[in-house]
Amino acid sequence: MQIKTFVLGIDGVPYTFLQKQFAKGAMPNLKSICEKNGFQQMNSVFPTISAVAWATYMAGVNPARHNIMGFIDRIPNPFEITINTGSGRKAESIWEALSKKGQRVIVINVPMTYPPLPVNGILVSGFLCPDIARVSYPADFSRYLQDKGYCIDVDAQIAHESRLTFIQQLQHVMKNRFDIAFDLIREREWDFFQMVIMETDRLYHFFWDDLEDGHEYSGQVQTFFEQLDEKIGILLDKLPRNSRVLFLSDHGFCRLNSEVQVNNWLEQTGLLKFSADGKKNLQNYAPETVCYSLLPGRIFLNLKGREERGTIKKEEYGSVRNYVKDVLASFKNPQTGENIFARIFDREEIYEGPYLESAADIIVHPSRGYDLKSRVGEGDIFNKCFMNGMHTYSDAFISGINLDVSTVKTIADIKNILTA
Amino acid sequence: MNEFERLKFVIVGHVDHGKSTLIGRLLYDTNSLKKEKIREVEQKSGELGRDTEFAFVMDSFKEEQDQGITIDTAQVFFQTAKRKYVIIDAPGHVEFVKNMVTGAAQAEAALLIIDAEEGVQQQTKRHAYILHLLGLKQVIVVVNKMDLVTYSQERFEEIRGEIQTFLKSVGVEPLMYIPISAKNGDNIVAVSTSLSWYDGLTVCDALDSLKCRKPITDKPLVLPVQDVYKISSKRITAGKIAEGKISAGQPIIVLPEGQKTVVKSVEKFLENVTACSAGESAGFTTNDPLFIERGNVVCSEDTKTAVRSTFKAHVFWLAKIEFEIDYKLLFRCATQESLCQIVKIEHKIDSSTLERIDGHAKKLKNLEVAEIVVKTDKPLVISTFNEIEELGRFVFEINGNLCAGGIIIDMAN
Amino acid sequence: MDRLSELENQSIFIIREGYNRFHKVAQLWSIGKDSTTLLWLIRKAFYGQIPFPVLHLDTGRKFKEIYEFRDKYAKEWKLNLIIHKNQEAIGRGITCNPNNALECCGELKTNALKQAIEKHKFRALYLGIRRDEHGIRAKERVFSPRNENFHWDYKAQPLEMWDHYKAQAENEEHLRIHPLLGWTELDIWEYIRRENIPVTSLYFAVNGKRYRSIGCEPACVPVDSQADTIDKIIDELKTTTVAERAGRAQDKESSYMMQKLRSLGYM
Repeated sequence: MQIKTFVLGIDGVPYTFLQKQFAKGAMPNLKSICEKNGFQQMNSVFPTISAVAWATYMAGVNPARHNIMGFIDRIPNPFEITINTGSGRKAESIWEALSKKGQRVIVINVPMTYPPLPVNGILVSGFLCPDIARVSYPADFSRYLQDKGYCIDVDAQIAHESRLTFIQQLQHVMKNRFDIAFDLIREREWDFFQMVIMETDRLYHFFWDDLEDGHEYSGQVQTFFEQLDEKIGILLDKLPRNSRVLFLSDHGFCRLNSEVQVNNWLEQTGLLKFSADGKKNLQNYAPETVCYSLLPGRIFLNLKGREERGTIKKEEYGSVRNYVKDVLASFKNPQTGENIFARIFDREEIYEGPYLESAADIIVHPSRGYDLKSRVGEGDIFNKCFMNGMHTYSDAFISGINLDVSTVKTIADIKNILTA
Repeated sequence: MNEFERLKFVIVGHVDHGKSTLIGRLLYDTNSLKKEKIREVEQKSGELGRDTEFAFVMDSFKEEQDQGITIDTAQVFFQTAKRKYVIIDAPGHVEFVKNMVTGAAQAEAALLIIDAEEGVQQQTKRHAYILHLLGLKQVIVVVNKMDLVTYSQERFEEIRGEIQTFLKSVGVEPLMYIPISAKNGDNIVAVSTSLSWYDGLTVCDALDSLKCRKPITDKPLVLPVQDVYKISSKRITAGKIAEGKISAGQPIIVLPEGQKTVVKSVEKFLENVTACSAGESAGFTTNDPLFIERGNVVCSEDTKTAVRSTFKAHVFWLAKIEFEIDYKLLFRCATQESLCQIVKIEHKIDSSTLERIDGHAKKLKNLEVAEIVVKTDKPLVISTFNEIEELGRFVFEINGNLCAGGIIIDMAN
Repeated sequence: MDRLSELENQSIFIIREGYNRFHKVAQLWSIGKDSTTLLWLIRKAFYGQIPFPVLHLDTGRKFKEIYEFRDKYAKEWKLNLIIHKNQEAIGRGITCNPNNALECCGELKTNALKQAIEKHKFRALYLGIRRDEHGIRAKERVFSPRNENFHWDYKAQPLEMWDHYKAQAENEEHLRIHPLLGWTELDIWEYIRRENIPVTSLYFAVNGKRYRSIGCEPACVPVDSQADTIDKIIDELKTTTVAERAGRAQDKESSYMMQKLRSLGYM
């Protein structure tokens, strides 16, 4: 009989966070798994954002080979901001590869899997699916989900209204997702099962301070992790003993000290310009612009022949890019003198493949605590915000039962192990 | 994007109700057109002093552009985020029903288009009836040119009521009714703000909700023999499996004679296989050296077919040449052929009104539908259309030209 | 059944129909990717023993790669290869000339084909044309009659339904059989990749140029391309035929998604 594989993705859970939980005796089930089977820190991807990280995980290749560069993107000419969907992915996912081999798969709630593309089994798409009626392949499986009270995602808007309601809903949706998975584990025939818990990402974004400093909701947040751990315990009981089980997060988290509006800063340096008469938004940037940014930290040069109002000549591309990088490197927190950008890459330094052209010309990664945003024309360069947690690159985690994950250094390395 | 699927659908309806415009719109709004093509269409429209005329996207033939009608079935390719499509554009003019059938016979689904202003017309009904005769189950009705009736819900409901009654009487049950304006792009890809009273799917989403035709692998074997080849020392019987599977060691029965034998091997070039299933162009050898020839039908014991020379059918006459009841015709069903006679015309049906006419007619004319009794010279392996599609549908041929299509509704003994 | 297998099986069905109906048939092999794919399917249909000749119309001005490729696979696949040249026209000094394509193609291809049909008494020919090649081909039939002057009367095309095609060539008429009609250029390349079908090296980019279609050397213009492998050609076709917007949210969805992203600080 085919050995079953179950992958539980827990969005944004940092390796160091789990270390602390384990040290204080919390989350006993996951702790015992990690102690027995190995527990490693893992690198995510640049830019460190769930859309790119999960796409990289499922495709097992770098973004220039799967073509998902962020949640949002731009069409350069005529200029337009668009939202990426899973159908823009150009490389085969783990479950598509396994489907081709005849394995039966169940995939639940992985970001960037909307629209739900066919698999040999069931796929329930995740974050950014707009409508439960269109959440699944096969389409009529959504009825089963609706009957069981399935919720794609808790509306983060609620957090702005009632933090307590938000956290209670996160707990409920997480538990409900596990319960449905437990039913499917029993009711359906499958060889590969993948589920992602997204609620952890929301918790860290909105409650990092509570976690670290014991604020108002720290008890509720801790309860969430205890409930999660309990479900992990039940999950193991429900899987056959010889199953291969993988636990991972797609990136880490840390405290968010300040949001950085990169475009506002670019405007201040004179690299980004707007015509005097029009409204200030990216659609209206002036032809003299040297570069603009999309979130997070993706810098596009205003290249002639590519951008709608491009003025930088092809032959100047290299020298202009170097110049921009020098300017980027000079960006410091005026109060502390700390560098805002910890790392500045030419795209070809970190990417390789046929879709390199879709990537930003320069990708910057922030120093700890600075969350890179791309607001235009309103407000300051630095601002506090409602959220207090942000993503980190090097602090994701991975742990595997009956699976050797010792060779996994980054999230792109996992597919090979699962499809070998 | 499902790389493995490609759904074929046909757009039918009365002439000038906007088929070509709808297709142009679908291609344009799904960004399936290259920039040069868009420029070409805009330029052409400009020359004629019109707004962008999406119908020009489809019109590759000069004649069509001048007369503004599609004369032949044409196929174009496009894709949504979900999958690939082939659109079959079928002409709406009564002159070209033959071409419309050629197009629609290949489709897995159909859009029936109705002009909101003109409402249900003769060809609307005739095309709907043809869809029924062709056995198309996935039908979507789109009510076009809603802009001309001020996006009136009342008008939409009125047309919906009218066509619904008609469709029901011919046994077609549409999956949905969609109000659109192909010209303005309402409810094609983007949801229309002018049609806010409508809360159903757009045309594009409706297409994405359709299912691709799947080969029928889970029924007993039906394999019409196409030819027999002598390859090295083997005699390989070849044909495309209509239903079921064939595998080495399987007992088979060769109709109409009914010889029984066992499959010795299943043959594919450069591949080692032991089985083939529906949809595959297969080849096999047998344990016994039987005489098998084109027109035989290879079945398993439990295949629900029969050997008959008389049966009742619905036929759709599609030739200028008038048919008289004592003509000899060539009957073709799967790979079988036999001369035949129509021994009786039970009644004729006006395909646009569904009225029964001419109780004892002796002639069939272009575009007429009739319930007939056929007698073939040779006994043939047939079935009702509902039981086994491949053995329940047929064409008539006169002088090497197909002149009618039909489905078997009853197998008299 | 996936799309490529469905296309393959249907094409083999058509190929077998054509041979059964007409027997005196031939395949027109230009050595290009489409007709080589067709030849591959014909080999599959007849288990490697093609019961009719394969016809190559030689204008005398083809790339040397084409001749090498033709001779290599004619031998390897044991083809009954007929090479036909319009000797008379070549004798008159007619040669391939892109500035007068009508004359040279007319003489060297059309008339050569007429001569070959007459000489060998072919009743039907297999051609590797596809509906997506050109608007006019969108309307072709699978079994398409031509009169003695090769005229295609597209206003009076035969009825085709349920895999029943016109099965007789009338007097002084030959039929063209188009097993690849429903394929697209991308299908062809994906099938070539899947089946490992050999194609001439001219399709692969050298110094930033490659040929997208292959005919006579003087009339062929290479396109700008970096695609030097089949994978890259497929990627290139996907990005050139798929509009920029593919893979991006449509308007209606995107307002919802933007709201979601905004509430998480992603916009």
